[in-house]
Amino acid sequence: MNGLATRGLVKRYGTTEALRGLDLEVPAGSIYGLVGPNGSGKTTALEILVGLRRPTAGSVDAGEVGSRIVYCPDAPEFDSWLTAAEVIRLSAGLMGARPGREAVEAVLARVGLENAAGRKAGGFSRGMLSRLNLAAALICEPTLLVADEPAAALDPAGRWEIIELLGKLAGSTTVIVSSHDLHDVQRVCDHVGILTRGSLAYQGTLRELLERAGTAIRVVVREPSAPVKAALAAASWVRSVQDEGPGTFLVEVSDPGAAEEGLPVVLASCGARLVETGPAEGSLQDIFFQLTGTGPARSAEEGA
Amino acid sequence: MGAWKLEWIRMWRTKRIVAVVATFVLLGLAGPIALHYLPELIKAGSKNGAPVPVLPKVQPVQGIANLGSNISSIGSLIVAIVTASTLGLDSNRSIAAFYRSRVRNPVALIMPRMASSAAIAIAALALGALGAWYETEVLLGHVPLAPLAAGFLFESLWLCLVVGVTAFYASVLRSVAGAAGASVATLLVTALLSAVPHLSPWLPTRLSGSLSMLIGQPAGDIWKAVLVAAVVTLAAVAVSIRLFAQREPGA
Repeated sequence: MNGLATRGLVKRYGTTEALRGLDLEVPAGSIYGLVGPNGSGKTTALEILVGLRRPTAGSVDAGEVGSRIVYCPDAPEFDSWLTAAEVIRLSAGLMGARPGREAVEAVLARVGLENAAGRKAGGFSRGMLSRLNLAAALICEPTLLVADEPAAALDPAGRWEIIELLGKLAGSTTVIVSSHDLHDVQRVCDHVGILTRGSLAYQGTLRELLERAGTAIRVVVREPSAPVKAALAAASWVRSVQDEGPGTFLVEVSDPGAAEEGLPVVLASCGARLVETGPAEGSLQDIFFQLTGTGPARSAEEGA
Repeated sequence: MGAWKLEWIRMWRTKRIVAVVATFVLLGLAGPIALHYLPELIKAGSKNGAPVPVLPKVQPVQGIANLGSNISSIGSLIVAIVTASTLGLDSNRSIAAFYRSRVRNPVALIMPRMASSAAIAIAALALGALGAWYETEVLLGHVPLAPLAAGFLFESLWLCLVVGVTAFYASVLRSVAGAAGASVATLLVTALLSAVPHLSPWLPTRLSGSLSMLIGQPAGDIWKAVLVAAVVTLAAVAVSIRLFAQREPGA
């Protein structure tokens, strides 16, 4: 199946150029994270992809994944007098599907709204609306799901669930997701586009991006931690190991793929009592700041 | 659930259907009653010793004409408000995104909203006219049904014109109040133009209040106004669909 591609997308609002020759390449079946600072053109780009806006110049080739495009806007709202179940049936009905009661209940359960099927959307919290937004999209069985900040209004647990849910669509559905949260992108996306001032500063696989700048993993173990540090430092895929506190190491890796496979082996070999491990904060963030010319350092310079 | 069923649910849950039907029925019933009891009301309200004006005998046709007159003002205003709020698709950016990203065909998106507004207005007019006819028969005298039915068709065309003009403004303005206000203002200006003798026969405002027009008198040259109303309504619907299709989300 062909993926989605845009060629030289330009969008002007009067004299303001929101998109400046955007060339997206979204492989079929991928989870594509579109990230960028506020005002970089993410929402404009997504709205063009789903047909809500027309580009000033350029074109969109949705390929085969474009046969059923469903959009999840940020800050979703629905007619307040419709129940959650009616929103789901309406969403499917507008796209020509007629889901049965079981399908409606199943999709609501999938997003954690199984007890709210009969409640009117007007009484929903922002978090519940975000879940309903995603359920209304999933019931359509999209070939391309375009989600603008799908977890923006959710608490950490809800955010985790929704991002996980999007991640599980990989392979069966092509997903383009915009997010301000780089951890979410790093967790579920396999492809990334970094948008700044209307054009792409980077596009490719997440792995390539992380490899380009090097990747760091934070490892927290119980004492004694010295043997763990030594074992990590000896691993072929480790560039450096820095102490960050008692039993806490920042491991800079040269090969993320080898690190994913090798880290459990190294920790097991030295009998480490693992407390926590995961991508070190700032790994993708640092690259993002570097590519977009944003971030605390720049803000401080500009403020000086 | 499809777009047509959605409009049916919208009309009930938002009480729009109740507002329109109740208004028209109330206007239909109240007119003949007020005319019947008017002499007694004036007599009761006059001060001691003051001469009581002698009113001419009320004709049955006045019971129907009263409803037609009220539809020109209150009825048209309510139909414009209901139509503008139903077609206020883009007044909420997120709701607009939900519908517009799923329904690409502008006719499928807009037509159920326009048609439901017009259907409710016409159904309410029918019930109001029936109420006025019944009360007139009971209190004021006989009214033949055939000319009333013909007047009903002209009055229905007038309400369709109100829906069409409001749809046009809803496709230009995102604000519901703005669309309803602009629509009513346009109809008022058209009514003022009827003072120009050469324009008067062509103005669709002649159809406003036409419910009783054919009772006891010929149609005359109303067909010019019918032609203009039909053309303007169809043009307004076509243009509004085109404008809705071209509109992008607001900021």
